[in-house]
Amino acid sequence: MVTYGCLAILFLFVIIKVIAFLLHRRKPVSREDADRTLYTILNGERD
Amino acid sequence: MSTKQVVSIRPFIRTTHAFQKLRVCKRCGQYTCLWEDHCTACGRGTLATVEERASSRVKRRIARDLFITVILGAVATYFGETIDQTMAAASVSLLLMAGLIFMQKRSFQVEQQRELKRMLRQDEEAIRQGINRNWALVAEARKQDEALAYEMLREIGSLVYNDRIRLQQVALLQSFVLRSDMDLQLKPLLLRSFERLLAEYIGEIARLKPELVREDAIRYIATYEVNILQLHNGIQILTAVAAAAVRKSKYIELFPSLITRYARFMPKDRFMRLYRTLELYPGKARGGLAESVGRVYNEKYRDSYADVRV
Repeated sequence: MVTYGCLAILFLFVIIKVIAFLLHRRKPVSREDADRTLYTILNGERD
Repeated sequence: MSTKQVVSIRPFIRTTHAFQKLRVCKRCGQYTCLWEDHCTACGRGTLATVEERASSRVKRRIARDLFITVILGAVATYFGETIDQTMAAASVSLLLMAGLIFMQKRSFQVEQQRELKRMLRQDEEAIRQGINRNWALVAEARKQDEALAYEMLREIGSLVYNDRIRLQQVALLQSFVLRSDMDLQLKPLLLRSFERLLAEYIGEIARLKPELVREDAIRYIATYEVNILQLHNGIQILTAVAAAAVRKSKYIELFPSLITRYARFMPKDRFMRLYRTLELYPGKARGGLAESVGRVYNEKYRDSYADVRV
């Protein structure tokens, strides 16, 4: 019973992780995005 | 008498992305955009680039996920009631783990960029404090080494768009003897309002490195022409900029009135370049520029050129 329970949790865990990876790959963050974030932090929205 | 200092300025290292200038201490989380070897807050040599930091955070998360997978797989295998169940649990666990590792490897770059952005957002305040600390260090450095202070301001100025930083840089540059072999910059130093030091700096750049005088710098000079004319060397500044502007026919077309007013004072080679450009592209001359240039040519250069051609 414990075996099935652990396998079920493991299966769900891996599936959730894989779905998250796939979603992130569909909407990747570019290096320009990181640049923009940094400029916004340091200069505000205007620049 | 000139009180300018002779200094040597290290070339500015340009990075493809702004965040590549930023480093963070792995121990205390202090950010810096300068090049120091040791963290100025904790004194340890544990500074890493933000990309390295993001990578290590992603790797740590990958390791945590794998650990959870291994533990769950091991528990499932250990508690197997029959040999078959144990074997099946071990096989399924290994298969799921392999799938997870495969996806982690494939998504590493994407995750790293994602983590970098998340990290920047999370550490917003720490980044601001780090840059402010860098700026405070400039004041200390300025007392001992003004060239070093300028180099530090140049690094900060590549990330922070702030007229105070720009003005400090211009003031320092104007206290140095500038040379054409120096790694100078102009565009990042342009201010929103008129500043005598900047006008003088642009004039000097126009003489030393005319290729740095581009549309925005010429526009700045043209906008504040009246203020510049009130300076003791105002005419020289305006003439130098107008002479630098005749490098490109585009600028001749954009700033005909500025060039018209100072064509008379330009060095001969610059004036002749303007004259020939207008001969080649008469359509570029607007607002009476061609007439004015023709008049100056007739007054100052026609005879000498006629002599040479004869």
